[in-house]
Amino acid sequence: MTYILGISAFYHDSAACLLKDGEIIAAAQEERFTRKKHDSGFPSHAIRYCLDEANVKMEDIAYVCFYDKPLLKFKRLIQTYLDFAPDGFRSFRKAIPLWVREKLFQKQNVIRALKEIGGQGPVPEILFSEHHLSHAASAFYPSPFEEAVVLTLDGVGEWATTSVMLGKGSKLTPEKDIHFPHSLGLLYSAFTYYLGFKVNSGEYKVMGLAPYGRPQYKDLILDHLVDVKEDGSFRMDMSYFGYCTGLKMTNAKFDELFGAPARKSETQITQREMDIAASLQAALEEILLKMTKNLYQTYKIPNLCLAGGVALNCVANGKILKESGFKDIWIQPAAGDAGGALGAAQAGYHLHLGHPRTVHTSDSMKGAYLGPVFSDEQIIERLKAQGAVFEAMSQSEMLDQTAKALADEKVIGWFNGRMEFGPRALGGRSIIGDARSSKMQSMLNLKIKYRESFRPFAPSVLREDMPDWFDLDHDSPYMLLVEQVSAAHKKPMSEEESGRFGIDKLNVARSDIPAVTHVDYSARIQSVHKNTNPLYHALISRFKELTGCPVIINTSFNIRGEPIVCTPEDAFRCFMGTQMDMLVLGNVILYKEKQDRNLVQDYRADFDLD
Amino acid sequence: MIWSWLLSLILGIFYVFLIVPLGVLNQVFFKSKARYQYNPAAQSYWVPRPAKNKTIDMSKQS
Ligand SMILES: [Fe+2]
Repeated sequence: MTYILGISAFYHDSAACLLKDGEIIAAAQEERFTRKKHDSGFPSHAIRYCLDEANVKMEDIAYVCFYDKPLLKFKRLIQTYLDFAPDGFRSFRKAIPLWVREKLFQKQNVIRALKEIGGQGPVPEILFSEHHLSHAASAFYPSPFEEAVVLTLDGVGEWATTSVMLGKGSKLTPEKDIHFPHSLGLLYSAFTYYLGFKVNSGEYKVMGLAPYGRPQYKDLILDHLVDVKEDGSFRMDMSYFGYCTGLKMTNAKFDELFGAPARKSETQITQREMDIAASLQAALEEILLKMTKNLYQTYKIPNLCLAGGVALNCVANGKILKESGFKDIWIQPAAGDAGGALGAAQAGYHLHLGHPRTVHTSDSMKGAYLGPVFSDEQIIERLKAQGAVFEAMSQSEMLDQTAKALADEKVIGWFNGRMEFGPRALGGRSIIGDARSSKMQSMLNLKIKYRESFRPFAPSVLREDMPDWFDLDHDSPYMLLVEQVSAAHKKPMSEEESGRFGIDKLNVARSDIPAVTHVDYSARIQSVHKNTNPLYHALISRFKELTGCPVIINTSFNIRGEPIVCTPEDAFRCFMGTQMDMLVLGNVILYKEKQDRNLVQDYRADFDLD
Repeated sequence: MIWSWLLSLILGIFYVFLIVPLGVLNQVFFKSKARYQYNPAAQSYWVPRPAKNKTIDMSKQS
């Protein structure tokens, strides 16, 4: 039996993943255990969890695979300073001491940390994948394809920011790259910064803002900031950006091009920000479509796999599926750097050790339910210690009560089965509600999530009913595809309503499921499958029996700035700290009105705003 | 405080006497800045992987 441990760490979103003979046994992000969002430290907790889950010790691990090559990254850093000298001393002064400590001595640091976990036993041999190889491996090996073109796009790895590899059987061959500093991930991050959101976490807010705007700056972006060739490959005009040597993403010339300095965070969002977001999104989609169309024509392989942070742009993914020419696409749910842990382990197993690969008809991610699970006994024991008032019951009774509460417009914390791997809650650690309710969207945003009201929620829909409710008939178990609500369920807007601007438009009921319908009638869809999450499927089925609607709201179980909950204690705290009505953990139900009011704690201040 | 100042000084010396001269030489003689700029003559910005880099040696850190 071969156990391989994959690790991603020291950049953002550290994670660990364990493979047993190539099968994914466990995977989790460090942030879920340390409660520090995007924790980039060594993933000790996640590693311990993976070992426990498989009931093995460090000495049972054959190889530890790290997700990138630290020395190559260090070389890139030095090369960049050389190329920009004499500019860049301030950034050099800040970055070098850190990078010397982290990158030059990374292997030793990893060994030391592994020793701390493993105790006296020997430390396994450490392998180093390449950043984009890790992304590509995470996209190809678990995919349902025997053969595929693999496209990975992110901020930056070692040198590559965009890579194309060809996957066939157990082989994965790099074909071509685009190198730093030309990067669609960094372009998106630069605008995220300019629009006043946090780089590396606010990108999805920009995407959520885009449907409110008009893409009137798109040409400005494509004429001045990016040069795109016929095949979709691109370069950026670095005279507008500060990230090579400065400490900021954009510079004064960028401000001048857009006629104003960057928006200060937490200030009013205006139509201008919405228009810029729409323009960026439109430009990104145009580049990605050009690129993927060309890849299809070049390689004539019907399948496309995607990973890297840019692959979390589900709006673009929906368009690629529809328009690129590829017959089928599969996207790694942990497309960001956390997924690099999984990819590094897979690359170690198939490429370094040369083991063959078994292709599964759906995929090998097990629905991304790869994290910790708690039995009813464990849940009861832990809730008792918290002083919670709860009721344990049969599964059927639990489903009945939950479905009824959903139909009564209650907001429910749903904690069931294994925790998800990747940034999305998929019905393991979710807050759920009635998608038909017109007040649910703003209520969830303001009373539960404590965040900006412009962001839409995503629907979970029974896979078999999906084509009746959305213009999509393709599995989307990881909430990575955006498509329109189907015409039968759309409600036309009156002239006055469609004339409204920005967030006012969100308050118009645009469909039978307004809480999950964005202003452009789109929705970020999760298809729910009986084979990967039978309980969640059963719950939505009960809800459908009651209401005729197979769609519910699914948002992550956390408040703003908080990592998604991992344990029953995390869930109870979030339940008590928000205006959630009901909490379901396994077959145990808690009602808010029955809880001791003294246990309420406002813990919003514990987390930085994201 | 003093350590931070000392570190700045050491890094400053390193930067001024090594990075700047090497960098400028690179920029002048090897046109190292070209890859940061647009290239209207090029058909594509893709950089093909050289044959020797098509298999990635995972036992190495670089
Ligand atoms: Fe990455």
